[in-house]
Amino acid sequence: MAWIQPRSVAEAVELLQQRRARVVCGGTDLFVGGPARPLAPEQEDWLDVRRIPELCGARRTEEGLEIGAAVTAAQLWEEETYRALPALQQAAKIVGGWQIQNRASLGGNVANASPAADMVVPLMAYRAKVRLAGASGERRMALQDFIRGPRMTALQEGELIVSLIVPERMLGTAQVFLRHDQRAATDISIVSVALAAAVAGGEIAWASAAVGAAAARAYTLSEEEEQLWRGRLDAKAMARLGALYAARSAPITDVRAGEDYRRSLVDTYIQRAARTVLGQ
Amino acid sequence: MNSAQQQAMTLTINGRETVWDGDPSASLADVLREGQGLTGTKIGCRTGECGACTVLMDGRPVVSCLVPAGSAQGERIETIEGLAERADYQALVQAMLEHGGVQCGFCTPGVMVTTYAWMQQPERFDGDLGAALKNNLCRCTGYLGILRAAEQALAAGGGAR
Ligand SMILES: Cc1cc2nc3c(=O)[nH]c(=O)nc-3n(C[C@H](O)[C@H](O)[C@H](O)COP(=O)(O)OP(=O)(O)OC[C@H]3O[C@@H](n4cnc5c(N)ncnc54)[C@H](O)[C@@H]3O)c2cc1C
Ligand code: FES
Ligand code: FES
Repeated sequence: MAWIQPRSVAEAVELLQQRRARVVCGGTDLFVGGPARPLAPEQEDWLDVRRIPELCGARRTEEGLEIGAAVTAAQLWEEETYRALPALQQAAKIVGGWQIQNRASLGGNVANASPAADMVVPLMAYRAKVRLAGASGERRMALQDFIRGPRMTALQEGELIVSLIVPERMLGTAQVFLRHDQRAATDISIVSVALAAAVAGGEIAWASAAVGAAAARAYTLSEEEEQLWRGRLDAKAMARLGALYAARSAPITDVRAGEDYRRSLVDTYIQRAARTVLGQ
Repeated sequence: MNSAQQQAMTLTINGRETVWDGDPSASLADVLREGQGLTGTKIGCRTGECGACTVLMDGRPVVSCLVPAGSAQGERIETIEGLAERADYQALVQAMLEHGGVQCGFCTPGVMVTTYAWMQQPERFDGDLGAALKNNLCRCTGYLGILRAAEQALAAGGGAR
């Protein structure tokens, strides 16, 4: 078993071909409870992506803000670069505690595809794209299509996540991330909501929201349905939005909360998020 | 699992470079305690929740039970034993004793490491050490003694580098 630390995406992709290694970043999902096992017996090596410079920072492009997969939660809430994405910063600051935030990566949160993953939720609301690199080159896809279900993604063998791309129009919008949990300590989300909205003069021009932990994966409404977010949003319009998102949920019942309670939380938190971005 | 295979890794622990031969997926917490005899770092849960195993990596607190040894290569690792040799750490030790920040003591090394790291930049977490300690569980003190101790040590200039 070897620990390999490639220094570029090209080198990483080549090593993944040759050695069938398992990708690891911060290890805060993989190593819980003791050393994790490689996926398959023939996977004997670990490919550590934290030494690939391209994965460790962000850059502005024509498309928007491209965030490297190995950027940590602590970097997200601490660094100036991410000020234009307050919902993502709020989600990053709620992940575990400080020690977890210093290791937990954005790419790991996405690849792990837990239904309760926090940083995934603002990324979904942003309609982010995932940039992937593999043996046959690069490809990109909508995050919505990348996450297939609980712990299921479209990542293919020998592929790695290079970055997450947040579209330009999302940068600097009014945003909020809200999470309901039981203990506010190192806890798992019961329901979470992220909202990004273009607000001017107390009126919403457009908005995009996502809901986490209330279905097999985080979800949004269709862009057509999102038209309901337009305007001043009186109490009736907000109630309608809350009910619509709640109707789309498919929550589970577990030790943390029952299905009905989770569904009603979706309604409550969508409306609370709406009031927050409108400054009410 | 093929854990029999070994790899030689260079780790920088408390300012000293050490070559450690072993399984790179072993946790840094175990390497420190068993490989290096640095038993000040405690293991409470191995799930990243209790914070007893907190050490500094490049000045940032991390839970060493979730850091594979391979991942710690090339980073500056500091344990409670390393901090104990620092002059600017002593004010915090004294204050913890005065304010009853220590009871059973099991959480204490982790609490001290996180608190010391926060004191280097106390504006972090909006100046709230309680928020910085979210990942450090203490079942004894109720945290009040710890918070008061940090306040006193900061006032005494213990945090400014
Ligand atoms: C105590 C504790 C509290 C936590 N609290 C929260 C919380 O509140 N909210 C939350 O959302 N999460 C939480 N987590 C989970 C975890 O910290 C996050 O999911 C984190 O973002 C995972 O990132 P990582 O870099 O540590 O992933 P790793 O453990 O390194 O990897 C996770 C998975 O992603 C894959 N992977 C990693 N990087 C890549 C890449 N670039 N390309 C392809 N695949 C990749 C790995 O192969 C693995 O399957 C918590 C964990 C702990 C231990
Ligand atoms: S032993 Fe590492 S956090 Fe509990
Ligand atoms: S002093 Fe006993 S757990 Fe903190």
